[in-house]
Amino acid sequence: MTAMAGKAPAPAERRRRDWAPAGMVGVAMVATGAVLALLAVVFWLSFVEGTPGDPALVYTLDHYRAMFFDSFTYRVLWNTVLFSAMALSVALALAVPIAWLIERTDFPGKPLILTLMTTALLIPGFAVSLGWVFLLHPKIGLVNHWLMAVFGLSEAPLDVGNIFAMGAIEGMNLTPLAFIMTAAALRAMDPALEEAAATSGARPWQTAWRVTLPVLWPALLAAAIYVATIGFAAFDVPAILGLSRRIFTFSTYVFWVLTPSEGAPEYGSVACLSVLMTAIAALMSWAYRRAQRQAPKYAVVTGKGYRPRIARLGRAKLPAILGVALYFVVAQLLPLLMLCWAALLPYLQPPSAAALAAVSLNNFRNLPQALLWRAGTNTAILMAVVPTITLFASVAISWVVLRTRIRFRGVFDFLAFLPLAIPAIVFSVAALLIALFVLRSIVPIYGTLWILILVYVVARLSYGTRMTNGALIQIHTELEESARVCGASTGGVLRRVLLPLLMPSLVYAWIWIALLTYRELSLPVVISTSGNLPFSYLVWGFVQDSAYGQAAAASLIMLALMLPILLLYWLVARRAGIVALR
Amino acid sequence: MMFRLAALVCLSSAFAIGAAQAATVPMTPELAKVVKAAEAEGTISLRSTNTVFAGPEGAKFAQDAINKTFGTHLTVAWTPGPAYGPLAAILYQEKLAGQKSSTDVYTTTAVQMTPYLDKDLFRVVDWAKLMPSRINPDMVEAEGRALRFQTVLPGILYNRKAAPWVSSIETTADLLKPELKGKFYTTPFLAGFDVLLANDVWGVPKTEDFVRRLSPQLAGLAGCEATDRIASGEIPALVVDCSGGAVNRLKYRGKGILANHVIRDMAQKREDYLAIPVNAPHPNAAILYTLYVMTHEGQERMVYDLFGDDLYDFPDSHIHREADALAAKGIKFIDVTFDWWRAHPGLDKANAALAKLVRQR
Repeated sequence: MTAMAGKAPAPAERRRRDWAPAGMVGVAMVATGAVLALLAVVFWLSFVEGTPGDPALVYTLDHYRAMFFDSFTYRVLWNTVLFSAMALSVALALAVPIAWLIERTDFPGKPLILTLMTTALLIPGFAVSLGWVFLLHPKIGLVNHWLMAVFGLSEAPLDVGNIFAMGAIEGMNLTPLAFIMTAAALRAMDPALEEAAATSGARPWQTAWRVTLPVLWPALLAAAIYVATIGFAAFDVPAILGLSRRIFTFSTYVFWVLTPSEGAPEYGSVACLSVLMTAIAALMSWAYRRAQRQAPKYAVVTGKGYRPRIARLGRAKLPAILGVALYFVVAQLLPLLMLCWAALLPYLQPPSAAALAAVSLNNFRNLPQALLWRAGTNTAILMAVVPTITLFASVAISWVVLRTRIRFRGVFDFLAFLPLAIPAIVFSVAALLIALFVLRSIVPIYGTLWILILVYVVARLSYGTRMTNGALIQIHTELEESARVCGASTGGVLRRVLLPLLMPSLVYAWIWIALLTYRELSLPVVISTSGNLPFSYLVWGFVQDSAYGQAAAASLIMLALMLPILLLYWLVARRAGIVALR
Repeated sequence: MMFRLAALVCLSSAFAIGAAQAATVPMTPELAKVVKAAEAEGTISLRSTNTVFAGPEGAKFAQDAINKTFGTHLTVAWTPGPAYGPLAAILYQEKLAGQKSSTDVYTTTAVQMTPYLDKDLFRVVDWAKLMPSRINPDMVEAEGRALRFQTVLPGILYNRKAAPWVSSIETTADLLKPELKGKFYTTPFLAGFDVLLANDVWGVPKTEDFVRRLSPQLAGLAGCEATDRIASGEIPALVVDCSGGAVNRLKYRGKGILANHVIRDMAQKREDYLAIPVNAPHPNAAILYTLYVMTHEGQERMVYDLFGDDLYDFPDSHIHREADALAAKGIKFIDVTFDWWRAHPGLDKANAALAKLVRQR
C-alpha cells in the first residue's frame, strides 16, 4: 500500500498498516466514479431520440449528423470562443495585478478587498447585465443619452450588443474568480527567487515578468483554463445582451434547445454538443497535464523557512488604490446600485422622475417568506456541505495524481476536469435519470438535498482539483520526505505537513465553492423539487418570469445576510494566519 | 345498504354545510366524495414557473379560497419549476420510474401535452359530472385528461410609447414594410407562427417564404418573459408574444404602458389546460383545485386577476368580450385546441425548423 506513495515505511511505522494511501485512492475513485457515471449518461443521451426512460426510445446518430452539418453550430462555437477569450483576457488582466497588490504589497484595507471580491459573486448576473443595458444601450442607455446630448450626436456612440463588449463584461464578472485562484498561489510563494532577482539589480517589472509570472505559471494556467471554460458556460450576459442581437453562445443555444415552446426538450442534441465540448475539455486537460509534468520546477514551498516578502508601494500606493477602486465602482458598485434600483420598482425602468415616484418596498413585502426561509436553509446546508466534500475529494485526487506512482493516476485528474465542459443543465438531467432509474431502489435521493449535493460536488470537482493541484505543485516533496524520515505515516504527513501548507488555498477554495454553490442557476432546474429547493433557483424563477423586482429584493436580503458572514470569515482566516491581510 | 345511504346523506350534508358558506358550488354526491378524500390528503403540491398558478401569491390565494369554497383544511404548497415542455418530460420520467409526480396539477397547452396523451401520463376525470353547473363537456378535452380553463390571444406585445406604429399593423405583410426594419423582435422559437404552417392556413412553403423575408426585418430575439424590457423601451415590440402578454402584462394592467395587438391574418385563440398526473400524490385535492379554478369566483379572482386571462367559454368572461369585439371587426380566430393540434400533426417540428431562419442575422 505504501508503495503507492513511492516510499518505504519508516521502521516505527512498519508494525502498523498505513491505510491512508488506500483511503485517498478510494475517495478519488468514488469521486471520479460519480463523474464517470454522469458522463456516461450524457454520452448515452447523445445517441437517443425521445424522452429518456421511455420504452419507445430509439437509438440514432441524427444528433451528430445535425450538429456537424449545421453551419450554425460552428457559428455558435466561434462566438463562444471569442466571448470566452475576451472574458479571459479581461479577467486575468484585472485579477493578477489586484491579487499581487493584496498578497505581496502593503496595499491598505485587505479584509475589505477580499470581502468585496467574494461579495461580487453574490450579485446576480442578471443585475450586472441589465445594469449595462441601462447604461450603454443605444436606445435607453443613460451614458449614450448623455453623450448624444452633450456632443449633439445623431446616433448612440456606444453599444454593448457585440461579442467583444459582452466578453469584457463577463471578464469583469469573472475577475474575482481569477483573483482567488491566483491570490492563493501568490500567498504560498517563497519570495527567495524574487529577492535574488532584486539583489541582482532587476527592476520590479523585470522581476515580475521573469520570476514571479513563470513561478505562478501552473496556477495561472489553472485559472486561465477554468475561467475560459466558465466563460463558455456563462449564461446571464449572453442571454440578456446577446440574444436580443441574435448573438448565440453555447449556453444560450443550449438553453434555447432545452426549453422549447413546443415539444419535449431536445436532450439528445445538447448531449451531443456536450460530447463535443468534453472532447475539447479533454484536450485542455491533456495540455494542463503536460504542464503538471513540469511540477517540480514550480515547487516554491520548500523545507526552508520563509516569510512572504511584502513590497512597499510608496508613491504608487495612491494610483493602485484608485485603480482598484475604479474596478470596484465599474464592475460591482454599478450592478449593486442596479440591484437596489430594481428592488424598489414595481417594474424595471431607467431612472427618471416618474420612476422615482414609483419607488416602494413592495417587492420586499411581497416575497414568499416561508419559501424564502426554506430555500435559504437549504442553500445554507449546501454551502456548508458541498465545498467540504468537494475539497476532501479534490485533495485526495490531487494527492493521488501528484504524489503517488500508481498506474493511470492521470485518469483521475482527467475525469475530475471534464464536468467543466458539460452544461450544468445536462448534468442535471443525467443526475435525474440516475436518481430515478438506478439509485431509486438502493438510495432514494430524488427530491432530497443529497441529489443536489451529488451534482454540485461533481460539477465543482474541476475547480476544486485545479486549486488543490496548483497548491500541491508548489509544495516541495522534501517536506514530506523529512516527515517520513522522522517516522510519520502517510496520514500523519497529510495531517501535519500537507494540510497546514495547503490551508491557505483550501480556505480560498472553500469560500469560493460555497459562493458558487450559492449562485448556481442551471443545476437545480431539473432536479429541484419542493423538498430541496435552493435559494438561487427561487431567484432564477423570478428572473425567468420577468419579476426582476422580486429577484432583486430576494438577492439583496441574501446579500445583507451574507456580507457580515463573509467579513467574519476573512477576519477569522486572518487571525488564524491562513491568509495575508497585513 | 341503508347504512351506506344514510352515511352518504350525512356526509353530503356535512360538506354541504361547509360549502354553503361560500354557496357557489352545488355539492353533488360525486363532489362530496372528492372533498372527503381531498381532506384526507391534506395538501396540494404545485410545481411550475412563477407566472403559472401565479407562483406563491397564487398558492396562498388558492389555499384560502378552496378551503372557504369546499369547507376543507388543505395546504397549497408551490415550488418553482421548469416550463411546460421540460416539466412534462420530468413528469413522464417520474411516472416511468414509479415515483410520485412532483406536482399534483399540471398546466399546459395542447402543444406540450399531446405527445403524452397515448402514454397514459394524465388521469381521466369526469369533470362535467363533478361540476355540471360550470363545466360543460365541450370544455373537457383529450378524452377527459385535460380541462380548458383559460384562453389567450397572442399578438404583438408592445410599448405604447416606444412603438406607436404597432396599432397600424393590419396583416403580417405590414411587418415587411421597409420603415419597420429593426423596430421589432420575435422569440427564438417563433411563438405563434406554428398555426400559419397548417395546410389549411398558409402551409409550410408560404410560411417559410414569409419568415425568410421577416428575418432581416428583425432587430433581434427575446423570450416571452422579456416584458420588463418591453416596458423599459429597450425592446419596443415583440412579434408575437406567447400569450398576448396575458400573464406577464398583469403588473402593467391599467397603466397604459403595454398593449397587445392581434394581427388579422394570424389571429389565434390558444387554450390553456389543467391536467392531473396519474401518479399525483394528492389527486383528489388536485381535482378540488381544478374545480375551484372553474368557479365564477375562481375565474374572476384567480384566473383573470392572478393568471392573466380567463376562459372564453364563459360568456361573461373578459376574454370573451375582448375576442368577440375583435371578431366583430372581422377577425377570424384559429382555436388551438387538442382537436385542432391533433388534426395538424408535425407542426411542432416544422416550426422548430423554421425557427432556425430567424436565428441567423
